[in-house]
Amino acid sequence: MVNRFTTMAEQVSAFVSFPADLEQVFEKCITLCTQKKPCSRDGQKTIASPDLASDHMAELNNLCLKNGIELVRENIRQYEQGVDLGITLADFAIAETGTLVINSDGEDRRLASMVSDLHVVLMHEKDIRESAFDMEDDLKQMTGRSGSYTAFITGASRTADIERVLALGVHGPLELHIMILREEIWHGPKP
Amino acid sequence: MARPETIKQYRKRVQEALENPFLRQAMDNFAVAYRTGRANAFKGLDVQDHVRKVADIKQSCIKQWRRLFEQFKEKALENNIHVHLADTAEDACRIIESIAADSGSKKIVKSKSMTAEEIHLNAWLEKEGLEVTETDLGEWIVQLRKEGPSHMVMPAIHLSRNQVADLFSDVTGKKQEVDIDQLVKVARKELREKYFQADMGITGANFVIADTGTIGITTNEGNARLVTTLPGVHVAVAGIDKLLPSISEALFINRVLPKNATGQQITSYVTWITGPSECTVAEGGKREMHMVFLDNGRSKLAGDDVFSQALSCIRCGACANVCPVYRMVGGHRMGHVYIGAIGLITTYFFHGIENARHIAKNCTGCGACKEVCAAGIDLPELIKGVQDKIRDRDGHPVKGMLLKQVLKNRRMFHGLLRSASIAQKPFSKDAFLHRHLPMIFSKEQDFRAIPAVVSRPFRDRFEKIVPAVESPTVKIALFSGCLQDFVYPEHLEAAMASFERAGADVKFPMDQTCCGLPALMMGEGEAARSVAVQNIMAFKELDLDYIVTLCASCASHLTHKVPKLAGERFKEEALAFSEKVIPYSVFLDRMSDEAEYDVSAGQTGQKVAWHAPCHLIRGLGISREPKDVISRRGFRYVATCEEETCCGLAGSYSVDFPLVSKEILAKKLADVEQSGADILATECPGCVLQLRGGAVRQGLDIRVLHVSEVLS
Ligand code: SF4
Ligand code: SF4
Repeated sequence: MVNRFTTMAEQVSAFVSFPADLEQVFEKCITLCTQKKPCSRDGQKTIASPDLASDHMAELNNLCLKNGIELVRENIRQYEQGVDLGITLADFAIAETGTLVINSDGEDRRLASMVSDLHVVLMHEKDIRESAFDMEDDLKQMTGRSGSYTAFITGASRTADIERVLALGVHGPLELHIMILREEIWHGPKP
Repeated sequence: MARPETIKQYRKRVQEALENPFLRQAMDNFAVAYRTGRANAFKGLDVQDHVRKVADIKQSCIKQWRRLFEQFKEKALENNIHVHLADTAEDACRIIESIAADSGSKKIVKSKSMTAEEIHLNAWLEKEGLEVTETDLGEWIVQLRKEGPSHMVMPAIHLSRNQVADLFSDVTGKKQEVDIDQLVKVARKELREKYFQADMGITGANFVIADTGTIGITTNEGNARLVTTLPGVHVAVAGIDKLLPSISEALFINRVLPKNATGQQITSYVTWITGPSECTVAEGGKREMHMVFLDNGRSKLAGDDVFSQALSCIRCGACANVCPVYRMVGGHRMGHVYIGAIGLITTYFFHGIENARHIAKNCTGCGACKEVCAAGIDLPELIKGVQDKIRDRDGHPVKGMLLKQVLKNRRMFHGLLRSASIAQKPFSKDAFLHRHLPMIFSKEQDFRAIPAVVSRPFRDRFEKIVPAVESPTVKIALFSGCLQDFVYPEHLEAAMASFERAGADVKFPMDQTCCGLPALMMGEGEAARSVAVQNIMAFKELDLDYIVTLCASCASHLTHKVPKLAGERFKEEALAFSEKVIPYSVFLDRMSDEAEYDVSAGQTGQKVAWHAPCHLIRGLGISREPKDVISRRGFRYVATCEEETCCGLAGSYSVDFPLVSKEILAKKLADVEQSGADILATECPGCVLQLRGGAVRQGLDIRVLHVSEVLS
């Protein structure tokens, strides 16, 4: 199933990787962030990560400090020019279409996946389902909660509105990076 | 209000589109690419089964929309969604206007919504002094150009990158390069600011889910997510036809929608919103959310036995993608707000007869749309129904009324056809016949050579040429149809040898008359019924295995329509009649299996391309038999890309829109020419008329033949 998921996600231009642990995840994020052009006018780079547990945040923050990157957890709305990289956690993934299912009730979580140039999604391999129909109960539960905002994300933001030529990143992320973790780093609902 | 467009003005606009090389090329590339894209997306799936299920879901929801609405409303209350039901387009605009006023909203960002287009919401809000920005790239482009979308999924498909670059240069006051990636980045930057400044976001909804009070929105760009996240107020607007019982149905439709729309497995983003979520700038930390349901004639339509089907539409746009007319003229000429086949229908119901009158005619009835419709809607039939409604309101043309009178009496009808031949001037321009046998001599019709009415119709020749078969293996009667009886008797004559080889006893009942299709197409149902009964009676007393016809249009009409037209009184006779009707090639194919007649007698080496008549391939679902029959006689069948595309004749269509017909024909012939075929074969005299006439005019080295002529 993980192979199918990977194939389908890559077909829609997502980058899929299998980091061994969080350390590798963070290193990768820092590399991605340092290599890209800054989205803010003053050149300051920013990583938004609304969901990581505080000890993990501390770890990431150390790396960010070393590299002159700002790490934010909330108030992402202030970043009108966007953030360079946003990290969110997926609840499920759908193999059939290479889709990530993300509970996005909180505003910061939503914005981290929308106004980031690079969107990094961490997910557990065990959360992959074959199709949306195989997780109907979970979906009913997710969408059944009042005030819920559930996102299916498949690849980067795309358009073919000019001469039907595919272009990525028209509104949302320019790139989608999916990092599949074999071991659980959070349990149950997201922290 | 602006004065409604005249047919002349409309034709002029159509002509301008035909003369726009970029549009033509863009539409063409798209039509070809779409076929492959769709086929790939559905690979391994039973498409028809999916379509049937979508149709079932939609139809059952439409019937119980009221109950679903009440259920949604109750849930919505729990979820803090304000629910509104707007009876008319104006009501909907007014509701949204007052939501903006009450919330003090001045700046609005919008994601794509056909329903908002339907009610002309932007114009309304702008008139009230509000700033509205479309955020879907294509919608934004057409908004800046002060146009409407030209496709439901790709609103700016009619524009080139150059045009977009010029437009963006104007908007930004800075010269923009003609580079699509760069242009997309310009939009990203310009629009990003708008989201942050906006007070209110407006979206459509692809799905409205009753049991949880949830709306589902699909986009590729992700703009709807920003529209529903940054502003403090969210207004969703959707027709009552978007209501579904649960997310299960939504997931199923969403499985079909992107595949049929763009050949994607799924769109980049599908967002499920169950009431206001966190919004840090809103009062109380939660967004204000409204759901505006639009009726605008839908509830009435839902109760209509025939037209309720139109509400099954899931707005995939496929019916435009495959339409030969859309391919030639683009969306602005093939729709008002809603585009393509479905647009020809819903315009009448949502935007009135004034806006529907001319566009409803711009359809060849080829059936290509019906074949790909995600919701299994019988689009050509509904288009015809709309044409009938318009005709009933505007009054039937004299031609139709005359036809009605004449068809009641076969002798009179055939007498007229004979005199047409004697008069040498077969069809004067305003004779009723010019629609019946669609030949007129106006200049615009000159793109194909027109055949003449023969002095001795087939019925006068039959007795002399009918093969005498001793101990026949099969008993058949011929149904000739007018065009082969009076214009192309040689098609029927050529068939006699194959009947003899098949060991058939052939009859030709002299009381047979016009099949009635032209009358039906002109909205003269009574005349169509009259000839249906005449024909049933003409064949009734004969002991027959088959009624063979060499005209695909007759075959399809006699099979599908005659039983319906005949009514209760002749029900059994009509069914007995229709069941025996068989197209020529299918008959031969069947006989070659059963009687094993000699098939090796054909010539060899000649390459034959096939034109699948609409009434054969889509009307009757027949594709294999004619090609097999031709191959078995030693010809080399060559496949062509446009084999199944309409030839553009379509009865009165080429009279109403000769220039479009001409272009459809040109495309078709160019494709055949490229294949290097010596012969272009088909199985409908109407298609022969169009294709042969075109090949002669263009001086092509291709012989256009009826399949019977190929075989003889
Ligand atoms: S029947 Fe053919 S011409 Fe008419 S709308 Fe459908 S695809 Fe277009
Ligand atoms: S009518 Fe059918 S094909 Fe056309 S947009 Fe609607 S669902 Fe799609």
